Formats: sequence, structure tokens, C-alpha cells
Amino acid sequence: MENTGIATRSISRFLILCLVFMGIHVAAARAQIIGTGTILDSRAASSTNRARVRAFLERKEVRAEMLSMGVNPKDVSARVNSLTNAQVADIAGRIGKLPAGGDFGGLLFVGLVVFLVLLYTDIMGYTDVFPFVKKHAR
Amino acid sequence: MRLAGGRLVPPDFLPRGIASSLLVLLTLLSGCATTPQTDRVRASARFGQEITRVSGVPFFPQKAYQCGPASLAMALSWSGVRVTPDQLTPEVYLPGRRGSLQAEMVAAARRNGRIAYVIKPGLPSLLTELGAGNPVVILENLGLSWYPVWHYAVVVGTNVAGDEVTLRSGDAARQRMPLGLFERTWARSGDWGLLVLPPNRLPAAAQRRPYLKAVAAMERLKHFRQARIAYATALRRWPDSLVARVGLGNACYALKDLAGAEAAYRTAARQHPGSGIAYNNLAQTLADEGRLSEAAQAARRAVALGGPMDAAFRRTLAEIEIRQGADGQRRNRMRPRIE
Repeated sequence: MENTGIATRSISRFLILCLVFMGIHVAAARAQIIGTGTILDSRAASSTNRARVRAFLERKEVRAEMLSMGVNPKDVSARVNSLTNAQVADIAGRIGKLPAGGDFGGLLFVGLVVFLVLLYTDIMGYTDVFPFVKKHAR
Repeated sequence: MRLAGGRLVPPDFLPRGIASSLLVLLTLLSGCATTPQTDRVRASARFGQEITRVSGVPFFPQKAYQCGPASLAMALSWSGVRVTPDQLTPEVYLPGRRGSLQAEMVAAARRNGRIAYVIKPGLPSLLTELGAGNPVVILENLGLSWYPVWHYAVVVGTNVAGDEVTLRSGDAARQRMPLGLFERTWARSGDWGLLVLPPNRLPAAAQRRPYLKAVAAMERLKHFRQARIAYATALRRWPDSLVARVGLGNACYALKDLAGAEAAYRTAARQHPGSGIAYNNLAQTLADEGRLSEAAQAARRAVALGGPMDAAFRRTLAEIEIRQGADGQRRNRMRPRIE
């Protein structure tokens, strides 16, 4: 048991060192063109390391959420990568709650009351759930 | 199940409970479900004359829960990208939600090389885009706020005289929906409407910042060719935009068109002498072209201007100075050999 403890500790020390060196590497990155997004977003311009870490973690979270929602693992990276940082920040932690356009899926479970309410509101022209309710301009 | 009735009402009083909650519900509905925008359109000069039909939008009937991929495929096809709903399913569909998120609809349009622009909420901007021949992908809630039935469709026309909008929706190639009903179902998504445009076409009611943000998002996906066209298009509308000018330079630079990049950054620096970013990017481009003394001059200008990107400007200057030093040494070493 003690051995595993030591092994774990040395592995984690190694990983910490890796992260530190990666951090230094990023800080000493080559001079380069400043992206257009930086002019548009003043927060990106003053982007601190902390902001970068947050963006990284949010991306990781969105990735995990997508996988748990049944997205094919081979599609997930491209999908997360094509979102902007702002979009990632918007949806991280909320993928289960945000509007997801998919149509009539939920209706299979609607009880009689819901059916009647929706029927009534359909007829009154507040909603458009049932195609058999004749719509007319009001 | 998000059915409120069961949770709110104790079973003993179910009938009375349901009756009263229905009453409350209907009161709420009649209170909040007015259609001010439709009323305004009816009252405006537009009413009674205008029939708009957007041409060139193919129809893909949706499979179960696939209104996202179907709507996006219709809009992309209209914009000149040949794609089917099935090809888009792995890009936008979330099996666990049996639907597609708005953010992913936007991202997938960009992945396919098109500018994804979310219109300003409201019927007037929707009608403006349709009038200009641009179909609009919309998200509506066909149910109620507490029992949402989220649905994507493509608006392809209006018949303001007949008080209707025409949609490609679900299994219907031409669903005609009363304007008031459309306004109510659309309002529940906050009037969310998405344009999917080729890069040489601006939204009819383009707003500068949101449009340029939509173009800048293409850089992340490495669609530099499309970004270059879109920035050039934006500059025709807003010739003095710093973002569009630097963006044009950045797209050229990414495409290794250094002359184009240099020209764009020089114009940006001339029009906006206070922009350190324009000078920094100009310096980097000149350095890549091997014109180090000009590059150093531009980089010093950027450092002098400072600002939030100060550290990056200093890095650019330092690197150019190192290269200048290396060049100088090489020349010194070579001189005795030449003599």
C-alpha cells in the first residue's frame, strides 16, 4: 500500500512538473500575429492565465457533458473545438437544460391534462402542438 | 416529466386543484400572449401588399427529433453548400436531449464554411431579411413555457396580406402559419433567428460588431479563405472598421499572402494610428518578409502605444531585434571572407 502511495505521489509530482513546464512554454511562446477576436473582445485582450485555465476547464466540461449525452466519441473533439470560448462559457454545465430543438419527442408522455390544456391553447391560437387543430389567422 | 399539475396540487383536491390551476394558467396566458409585433405589422404600410418568397431553399423532411439537422441542411444548401441532414446529425444532434442546441447550430454552420449570423430579435428584422431573399432558421417553442416543445424550422416567406408566414417545417415543405401564432411560438425562444450566409453576402440588416464577431469565429475553424472574402465584404459596407481591416490582414497572413496582409495592416495603421495591434501585426509581417529595420520601426511604434497587449508587442520587438542582431553578426562574419 505504501508503495502505491509513493508511486502515486511521484507520478503526480511528475505531472505537476510537466504542467509547470508547459505553462512556461506557453508564456515564452513565439511572437505572432494578434488575432481579430482580441480586438473585438477586450476581455480576451487582457486574458490572464486564470481566464485561460477557466476556458480550458469549461471546454473539458462541455466535452464530458456531450459524451454523457450520447455524442459519438469520434465526433466530440471537432464539435467542442468548433464552439467559440463565449459559446463554451454559455453552455458549460447547462447542456441538460438549454433549449434543444427536436420537436415532438416529449409529447409521447403527456398526460390527459396536458393534452387538454394544449388542445385548448391550440384552438385559441396560443400554441401549435397538434397539426389536426385547424389554424386560422386571428 | 415537467408536468406541473401533479407536483403543485395535493391529490385530495385534484379536481379543484386542476380547475384553479387551469384558471390561473389561462389568465396568465391571456395576459402575456398578446402579439404587439403582429399588431404593429398589421397597422403598418406593409400590411395588405407584401408577399415575400425566398427562392432556392430545398426541402428536407425531418426524421424523428432531427429538425435541427434538417433546418440547417436547408439553409446551408440555399447558401451553396451541398449537404444532407444525415451528414449534419453527427455535428449538431444531442441524443441525450433528443434535439440540437442553438450554439451547435451556429458552430456547425461555421464548420461548413458559412457565416452564421443571429439576427436582431423581432418581426421587423425577420421581415427585412426575408425581403432581401435570405431564409431564416428559427427556433420556436410550439408548447408552453413550462412544457416546452422546441422546434427548428426555416422561414421562407411571408404573406403579410394573408397574415401568414411560410415555413419549411417538419414534414411540410410549405407550412403556412398565422402571423400571430408564429409571433407567440417564436417569442418563447427570445425571437431566435439564424442566417447562414455565403461570405460575400451581408445580412440585409447587418450590425457591424455582431457581424464581425461572426466572421472572426471563422478564424478558429481555419476558414481563412471565407474569412478573407467576408472581411472584404464588410469593408465595402464599413470602410473605416479597424476590426475588419486587421481581420482582412490576419486572413491574408494566414493564407501566406504577405503582400495583402501588409497592405491591410498599413491601411489600418493609417486610419487608426492609435492601434498598437495594427502596428504589431504589420511588424510581424514585415519581419517575415525579411524587412527587419522597417519591422523594428513598426514594432517600436506598437510598444510605444502600449495597452492591454503590451506584453505581446514587446515580444514581437524583442524577436525582431534578436533577428537583426543575428543578421548583423552573420554579415560581420562574412565580411573578412569576401574581402
